Amino acid sequence: MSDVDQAKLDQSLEHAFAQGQLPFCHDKQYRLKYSDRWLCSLSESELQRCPAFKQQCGVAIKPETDSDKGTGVHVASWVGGLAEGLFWILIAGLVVALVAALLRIRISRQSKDEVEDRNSLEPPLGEAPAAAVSGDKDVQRLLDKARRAAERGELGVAIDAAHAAAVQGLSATGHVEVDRDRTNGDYLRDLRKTPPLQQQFKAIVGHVEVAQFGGVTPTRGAFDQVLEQVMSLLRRLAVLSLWLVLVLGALGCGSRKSAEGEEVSPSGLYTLRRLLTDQGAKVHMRVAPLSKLDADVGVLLIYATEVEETERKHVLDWVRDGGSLVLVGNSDLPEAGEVEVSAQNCGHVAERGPNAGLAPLKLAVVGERTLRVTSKPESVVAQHVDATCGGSPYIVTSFLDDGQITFIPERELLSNVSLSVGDNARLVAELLFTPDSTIELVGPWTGDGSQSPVQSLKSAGLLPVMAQLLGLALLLAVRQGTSFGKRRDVHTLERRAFADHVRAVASNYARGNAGRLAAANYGLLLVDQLRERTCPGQRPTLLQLAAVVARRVRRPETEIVQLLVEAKTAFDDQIDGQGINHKLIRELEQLSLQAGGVS
Amino acid sequence: MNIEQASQALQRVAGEVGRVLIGQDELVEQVLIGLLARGHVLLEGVPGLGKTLLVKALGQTLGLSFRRIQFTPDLMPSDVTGSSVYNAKLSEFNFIPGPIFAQLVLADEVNRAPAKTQSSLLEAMQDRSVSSDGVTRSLPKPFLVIATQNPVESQGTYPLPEAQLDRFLLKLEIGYPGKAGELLLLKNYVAGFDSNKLEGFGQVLNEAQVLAMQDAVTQVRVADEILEYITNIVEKSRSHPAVALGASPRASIGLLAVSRAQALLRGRDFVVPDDVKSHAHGVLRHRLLLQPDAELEGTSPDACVDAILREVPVPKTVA
Repeated sequence: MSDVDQAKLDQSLEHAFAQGQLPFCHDKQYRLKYSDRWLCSLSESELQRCPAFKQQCGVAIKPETDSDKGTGVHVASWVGGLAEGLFWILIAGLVVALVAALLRIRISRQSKDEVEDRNSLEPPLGEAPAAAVSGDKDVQRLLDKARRAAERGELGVAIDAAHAAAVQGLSATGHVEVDRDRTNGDYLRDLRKTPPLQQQFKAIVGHVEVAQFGGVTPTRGAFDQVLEQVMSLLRRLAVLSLWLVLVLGALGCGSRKSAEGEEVSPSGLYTLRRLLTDQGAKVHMRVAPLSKLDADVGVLLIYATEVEETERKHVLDWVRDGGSLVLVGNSDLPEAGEVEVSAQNCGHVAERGPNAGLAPLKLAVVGERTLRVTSKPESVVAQHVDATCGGSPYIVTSFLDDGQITFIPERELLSNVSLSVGDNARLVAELLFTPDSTIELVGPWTGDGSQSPVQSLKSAGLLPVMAQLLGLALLLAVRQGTSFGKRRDVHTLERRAFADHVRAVASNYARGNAGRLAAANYGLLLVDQLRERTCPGQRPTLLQLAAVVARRVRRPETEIVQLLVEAKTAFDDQIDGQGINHKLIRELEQLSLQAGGVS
Repeated sequence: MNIEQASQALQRVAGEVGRVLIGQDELVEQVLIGLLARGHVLLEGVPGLGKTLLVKALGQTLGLSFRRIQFTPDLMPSDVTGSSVYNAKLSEFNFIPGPIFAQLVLADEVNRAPAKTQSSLLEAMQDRSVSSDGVTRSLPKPFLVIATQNPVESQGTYPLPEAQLDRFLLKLEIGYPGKAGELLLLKNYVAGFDSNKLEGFGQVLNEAQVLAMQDAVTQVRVADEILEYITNIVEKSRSHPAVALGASPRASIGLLAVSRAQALLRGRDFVVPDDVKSHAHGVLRHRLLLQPDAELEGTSPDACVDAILREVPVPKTVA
């Protein structure tokens, strides 16, 4: 046990339990968690530094539902592996993209600067230099370009550049989509949902278009006006962006509150850390595994967590070499110190001692567990009882070679609420404080870190931030699209089956209500075919044709004459006809087949 | 009348017509542009969208004479243009002008009449005069034909051939007015509005002012970049793989005219690229003859115009 500065300790306690530090301490409306109900036995203690705690214990504490716990999402192990892979791919991709972007910017800036310098040094004779604003997306560079051009007296170029800066600024903040086929009217229509921006941009466009297409020679005054309007627009965009970042940041910070909430809850360790820090100790929450302990670690406090078999040996070796281990609410290592935890109710009051050299201290404890010394006569392990409860050892220190292990059976002793009652804070400070050394807290947070990036993000309270970023990325993807997803071969020419062409032609005729025309043409084609097949190379009259066909198909000539005359009359005058004579067409087809086949 | 005054007057006309033709502000504006550009307009839309009301209201607001011709399969060319009737008392033929002799003519369901009758109308539209019995008679000025056709019904219709469609400066598609517009329209009717009675409907302009505005359109400045932009669009329509027959030079002239008219309507004395782009569909959609393959794939002329516009960079682009 070390001596602690009582004045410092009191001051530290005063600050730790001051209004606004620990919510449960003064807020009577604070709702205790179901898992904290055991701590209510401490509310009976005479010395209470948290006035509201007793009242909170008087309210019935109900078990929490899953939604109350807000423990987040259960993550399957394979998701963790996948997420880890994606995480590193993402990091690698980002690094490559960053390097590529930096190189591109550098190259582009060099080449553009060279071009600009050349333009400024060698202005073309006879005509103003062309506006080199196309493709440049850097708002600041465009503004610089505008100012430089204005200084050179190239006011048209200057106005073009200022206009481009405004458009690119709007594009960078996702208000408009810039493309080479888009007009100022399109950008204004994009801004329909943000009327103030639309008005500002409309005013800019009005001046710019006069200079670009109005045949008016731009003046310095016109440029200054455009530039002022562009700057005003860009300032507004900057404010909007800042606001967005702040809102996102605030939403992200909000999620940290729950993590901090655990620390300042009645069962949290905020007070313990503060007491020890105020005394001058360095307190670390140990995240690294226990397989290797640094030389500067003075006290290792294992708080309510199991130590893996492989790590136990390291820890015990470290103790034997002079380390000081404190086991709190732990049932793993007691046999090494020849003590064991006993589930014996000892009441709610413990006392320091027996130790004649130290002032008596009265502790308020949960009292559900005590310790039992199991040392055998031949044992070389020396033991010292630091506190007793109901006559049983409550805190015991076992000395192993050059080091020592202090056993505390109940983790509640180190909780915020426990340190606010009785002399608990003083005893704990004396037990744990070692001048000029580091105290490492080992708990559920210690080990080999998170199993997956998702868990890691969750532990760090970054899941909401990542979710927001992902949401933002999705929104951008939806709005801007992905270049690799765009179809570029919209009008690829493909060879089609002949039947497709026939259908397409028929479909065209049908859509144009020209079915009658098509049928009539087909009918005339059939008559021509009959003529070609029966009288090749000649131009016979209908009567001559009928005579030849009748002979060939062996049908009465009058019948054929009647058919051909009907066909000729119907198809020649098809525009005023009343409908398609399908029967006539079928008869002609039949006749053509009989006379030599339809080709 | 200067540009600003003209623009304000036209906005007043649009506002006045918009009072009775609810939810069709864009259509009203486009028809006005057609009038200013001395063109004719083909409206395509299902029945009951207020096409007749539009023309009637426009005529009243502009102080122009208005006639409506309902096209039917038995309509004869002389029913449109007019005919000479023998006057027994004077022993001579007197010409009785047809309904085409009006400043605003609504040719309702133009595709229901046979080709001969359609041709008589379209020739009059092109020449702005009617020839009968060897005498050529000029049509009144200004002269605007608004023809309508129903896109759904095809039985008993005679679709206009491409060459005749080319006579129309703009082909506009009328959509439904939207829920809010329709609600307002019903409220108007509940308040006692009768589309057959437009008494008290304000006349904003007169014939001379309309003619002055048509002249003012020709004074609107067009930069060389804009001319090149129009040329590029029309040129691209001829080489587009989905188009069998692209837009004619008449389309270029039409696009230029409507762009100037829009500039005037917006109160500008110069054309900007947006004036051209925003009317490309109206001017080109009925002038493109698609490839059978494209038809088979369900490509529409509007989709082709979209593709063409995407491929042509606008002048002074920042991208």
